Amino acid sequence: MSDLFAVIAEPNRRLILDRLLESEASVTDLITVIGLSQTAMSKHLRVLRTHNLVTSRIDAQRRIYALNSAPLTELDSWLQNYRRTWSGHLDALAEHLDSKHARTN
Amino acid sequence: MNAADLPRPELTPDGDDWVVVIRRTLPQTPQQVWTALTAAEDLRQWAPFSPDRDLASVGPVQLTDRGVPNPETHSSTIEEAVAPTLLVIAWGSDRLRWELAAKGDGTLLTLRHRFADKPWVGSYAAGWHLCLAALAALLDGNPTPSVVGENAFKHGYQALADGYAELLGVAPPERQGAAG
Repeated sequence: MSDLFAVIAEPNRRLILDRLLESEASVTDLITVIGLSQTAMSKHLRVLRTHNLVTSRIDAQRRIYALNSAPLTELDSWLQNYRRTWSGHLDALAEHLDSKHARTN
Repeated sequence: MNAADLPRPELTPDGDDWVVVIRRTLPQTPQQVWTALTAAEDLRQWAPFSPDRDLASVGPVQLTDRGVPNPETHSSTIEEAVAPTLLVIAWGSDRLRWELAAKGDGTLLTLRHRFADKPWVGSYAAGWHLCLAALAALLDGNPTPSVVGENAFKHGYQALADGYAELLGVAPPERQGAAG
């Protein structure tokens, strides 16, 4: 999973994923929206494809890139533990506020 | 763009990578061409990148994308610099090999660009087509406005990319205008 963090640590790669979250896109769409050079875009798409975060298909001579969010579920399940901690803290805070509120009444 | 009108590059496999070979004959001497290939101030007028130093000596160099809103800097290396005949640049994960040979009074310039993704060859060939036209104009003493990045689209880049992809028989990364 450390690999996955390294992949999405790069801000332009997150921008690519964000754009593909809306819909699949051609290279020109991606280059225009994100403002990268071809060299930079091909490099980032290659990294994303190697890590299975994007897929590509040829459609009538166009190459279209799409998001594959499956590897991100690994990230999500890792965060799950923290989410539990946070919601535990929030429950404690709610109890604390309730008791405080009860006292001032 | 009629593919038959384009100067024909060669595309050959190199292990897992691909090499596109592009040749141009220029009327200037190899020494004059060498200067335009290596002097930072000249490169800023025709190349797809802007270097942080002259390229005439081996060692690390930072090459920053030119002409795009979100330029990236690629850690690169001058691997060989033999004036005025050979310049090899490790450009990020790509490799550019420039060969200069005297041809009559002028120079035969050969570029071998090694890259990973075959479908991008049309894009790269089109990019170099525009850059090499700008290089020729610079050497002729008529520098052109930027032909890289966003400006490339105004200079017929997409038609060139499609034309080169057709010429080389490779499905291009995409085709502008038909995007959904």
